[in-house]
Amino acid sequence: MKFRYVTGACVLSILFVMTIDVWAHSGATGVVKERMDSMKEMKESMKSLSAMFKGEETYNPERVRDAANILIKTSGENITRLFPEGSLHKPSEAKSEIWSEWNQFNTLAERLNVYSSALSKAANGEYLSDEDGAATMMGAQDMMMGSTLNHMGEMNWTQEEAVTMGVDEVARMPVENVFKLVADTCSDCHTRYRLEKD
Amino acid sequence: MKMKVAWLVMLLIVGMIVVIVAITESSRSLPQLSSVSGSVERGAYLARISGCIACHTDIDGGGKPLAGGAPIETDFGVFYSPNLTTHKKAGIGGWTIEQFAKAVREGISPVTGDRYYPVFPYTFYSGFSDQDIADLWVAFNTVKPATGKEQSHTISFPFNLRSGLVLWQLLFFDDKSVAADVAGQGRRGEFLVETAAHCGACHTQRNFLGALDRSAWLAGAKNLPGDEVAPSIRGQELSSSGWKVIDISYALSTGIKPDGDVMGGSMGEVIRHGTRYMNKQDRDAIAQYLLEYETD
Repeated sequence: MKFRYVTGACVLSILFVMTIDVWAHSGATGVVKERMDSMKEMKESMKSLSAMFKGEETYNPERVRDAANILIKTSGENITRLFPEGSLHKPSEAKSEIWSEWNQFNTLAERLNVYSSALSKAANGEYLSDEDGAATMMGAQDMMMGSTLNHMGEMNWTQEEAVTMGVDEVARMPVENVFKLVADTCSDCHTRYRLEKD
Repeated sequence: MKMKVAWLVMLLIVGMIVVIVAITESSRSLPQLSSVSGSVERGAYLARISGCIACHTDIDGGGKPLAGGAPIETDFGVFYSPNLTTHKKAGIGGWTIEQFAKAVREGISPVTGDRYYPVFPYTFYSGFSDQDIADLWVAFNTVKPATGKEQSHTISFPFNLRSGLVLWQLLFFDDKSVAADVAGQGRRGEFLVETAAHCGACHTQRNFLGALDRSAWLAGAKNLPGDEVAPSIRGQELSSSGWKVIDISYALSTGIKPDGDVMGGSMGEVIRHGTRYMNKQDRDAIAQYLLEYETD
């Protein structure tokens, strides 16, 4: 008798926890939930990284590496495999363009992996605190007519060039610029492939 | 349906008042713009942060800078930005500075006299000072002539009847010429938000005729094209969500929010092609203005 009660209680507890877990992501299940959980991990990493890079918290190479390693783990194929064709059921915020532009989506996931890996390698390296970002050293011509992808006017390379670089090459840049490449990749993907509801 | 009926009614009224408007058109005194010396550097910066380059370049289509052809989806149809290069036929190469000012600050085509659709945010740009116009003008004159995809707007009837815009402007265009040079009065943040970067264009709800709801300024907007939502950027909402000056300033540069989320959608584009080019002082000024923004 007691055994039945205990078993019943266990089953109920498991069901309860599963329900809570589902509710925590507003009803997300399956791959949608898995990728939302991944994105949440990435968000926590970005929060940690940006707090350091905006000067709110002390820069700590170890902390940068830890955050970068999470991004490495949640990028590339590890994220694209969570987007099987047409997986748009609620509460997914994905857009259908993911599948009509699969190559581009895939490339962004791969680049995130490259840049995150470079971030981990560059963590101990030169750290610029260039507060003015793209506004620095950008002449009027570049500002007015330069490639709109050339947002890093202070360096002698553009995002177009960075796309062709490997991990080691990117890792030679100042760490803050590597982080900007990471953030820009997140932004590129969200701009094109995520529905902005808030 | 309500939108279409309202537009048609506006057209009828326009037919009655068009003469009066023509007579009183020069309500804004002709500026002595040719005597104002412009700075290419200041103008290029202003053009970038005011969204000229982002809207008038078909970035996704690989278009040449400022050659137009970029599609802008709205509830009224799809608009295609015109060519602003120095091309004499396709662009504004044959214009004068006075014509440029008329277009940008008054929302009136200096070539045809037609009113522009407010998808072009001249209701904000009317706050540009003569110096701003002079700076923009010399900067635009450095842009190489180029052609782009020349496409007419695809607007449904009756919104494609431009005459309705005459009344639209009378009803909803609040000429800010009186308040021009706000920046010169030490109110840089206000100038950036309310004129140059025209944040209210997305962050304020529009009525069924596409006019911004002044009673809910910067309080956010739902049902934006692409089903997007723009949040409130008023002080109270920002503060209660934990945003500080440093957070807003940083987000305008990087797209990263204090919780680590990276903005996408239209705001992602605004940052990538516009606000990230702002210097820190300007981003801080915007942040300060928004955090202090209260309704009366």
